[in-house]
Amino acid sequence: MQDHRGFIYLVEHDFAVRDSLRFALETEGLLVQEFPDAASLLAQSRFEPHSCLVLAGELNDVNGIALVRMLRKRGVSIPAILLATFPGRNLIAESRKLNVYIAECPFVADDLIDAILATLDSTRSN
Amino acid sequence: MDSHIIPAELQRRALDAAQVMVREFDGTILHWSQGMEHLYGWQPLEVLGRNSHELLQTVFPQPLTDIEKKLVENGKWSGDLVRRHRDGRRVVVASHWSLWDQPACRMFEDDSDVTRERQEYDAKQYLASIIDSADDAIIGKTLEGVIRSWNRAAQTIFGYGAAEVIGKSITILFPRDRIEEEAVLLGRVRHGERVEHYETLRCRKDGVVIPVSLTISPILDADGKIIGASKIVRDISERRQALKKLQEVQSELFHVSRLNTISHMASGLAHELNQPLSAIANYLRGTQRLLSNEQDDLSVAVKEALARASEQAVRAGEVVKRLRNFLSRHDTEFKSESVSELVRETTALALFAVGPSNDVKVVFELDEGFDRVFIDRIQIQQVLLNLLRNACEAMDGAAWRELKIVTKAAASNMLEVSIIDTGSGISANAAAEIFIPFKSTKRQGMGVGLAISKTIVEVHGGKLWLEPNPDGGSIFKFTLPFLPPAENASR
Repeated sequence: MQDHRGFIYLVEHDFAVRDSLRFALETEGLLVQEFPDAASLLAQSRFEPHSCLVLAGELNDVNGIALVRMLRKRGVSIPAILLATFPGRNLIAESRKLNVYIAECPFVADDLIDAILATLDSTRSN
Repeated sequence: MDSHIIPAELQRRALDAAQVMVREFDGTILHWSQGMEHLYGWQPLEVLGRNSHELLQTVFPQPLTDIEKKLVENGKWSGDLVRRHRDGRRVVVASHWSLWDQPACRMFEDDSDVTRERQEYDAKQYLASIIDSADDAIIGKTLEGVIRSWNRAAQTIFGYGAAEVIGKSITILFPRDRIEEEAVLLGRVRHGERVEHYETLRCRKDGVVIPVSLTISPILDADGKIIGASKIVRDISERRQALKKLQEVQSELFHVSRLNTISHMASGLAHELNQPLSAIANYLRGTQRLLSNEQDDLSVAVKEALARASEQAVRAGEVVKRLRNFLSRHDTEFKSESVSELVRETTALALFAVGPSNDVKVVFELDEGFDRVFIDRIQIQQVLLNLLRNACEAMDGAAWRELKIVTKAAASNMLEVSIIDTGSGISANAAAEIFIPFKSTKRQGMGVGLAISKTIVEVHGGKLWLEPNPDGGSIFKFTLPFLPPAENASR
């Protein structure tokens, strides 16, 4: 594989949000694979070592946190960042349990990208 | 022969016609007159030497020992006795006992049959006690409106004693602006009409005006002529108050429900706006990054414009956030509440709202020991009211209408509330859609009740779901969080 700063699995049903985020992340030298829903991500059999999952709080099929829970059950420990509009107390508590970082919408793009880069860095130092 | 001296034979006969016996103090019969034979059906030969108390199965008005004590003290005693005729018939007698010769303790007893008089008296007493124990005022009046009778409830409701009002005009109970009502009501009674559940106002002795419901019927004499009116007055202040309270709670609930709907819409709208705003921010960020190493004049100018565009995207995001916070900020107050209390109060309201004609049997199975939950009272009351009213409506027309409310501790620090009805039940098809807004199968309503209820319960950290009732009907269940265990234990 080419030299890149990391690998992003991007799950978001809204095309504009997904496409814009892919564009912004690629300009940072990241490789991005897009998924429109949970089912297509779950079809993925293996995940790159230095990678990060960026997913919407609400998907068309299941919600984001439920998707992370399914992955954790399969033993996939990939770090995850959840894009959530006004997360409630329950969602925050659940995210903490599954070690998911919440990026609140509407996000400041800089903050989100900094969070993604920091998360990827942590996978390298481990 | 002196005409004043009555022959011994005649004396004996006269005595024999009376209802008299001579007996020992303990009741052993020594003499039994023909009058007694007639009264009790026993012949002299059958009773001599027997105990009169046992023979006649006497029931005394006070313990026999007390009677005997008085007899010894005063030489005589009188009172009513209940006895049995030989044929088993009940006989009430007015009995007079007198000691005849003290040393031997023999005595006379003469009885007279008062069975009929006592029965009539008892029947009157019975009616009088019914009238007097009624909760409603029952007032008799003449066709001129003069009060003739006044029961105890009339005294309680209006504050006047019977002596104060009997003989006075009924209009003393009327507020000044309603005096003319009497003529209208009496006019209808004169025509033999009955006035039922007429709601109006009346005035108590202390001047307080109270809402009442009147039922007035004509009183007829033996010839069928109308001679007066009986008036039953029910104090409906409590009912009025309950109705007012219900209206208050309903308007409060309506307010909460509207706020819930608005906050629902605000969240949805905010999300719809946030998505394009996020996309804009991302595109701008990527474009800025692409130009980050370019230092020519054009690139610098574009980069500056992009940075300003980004600021504006952030600003728009802030506006959406403020708007959403503003609209969703209703005064939710999470406090420690007793579910049992809330269930009882809300059930009363729900039944009241459905109407008294809908006689539903209500069964509570409430775990009073563990019922402190952490909730917004008004919101959970809305959920309960909604579910209870649905349950009552589902049972409309059902042969057996039983509403059961069960509370019990459930897993993981939750309290479970079940609302069980014996109504028509919900088909599997309908069950899939009942929590979806605007899918109501009811003739009235928007069909948002269950959707909002579900949201409210979820905001509290609980769940709301439907189960079929194996005995027919439906079971709605929801869970609410207990207080932290320490707080539950301290109560």
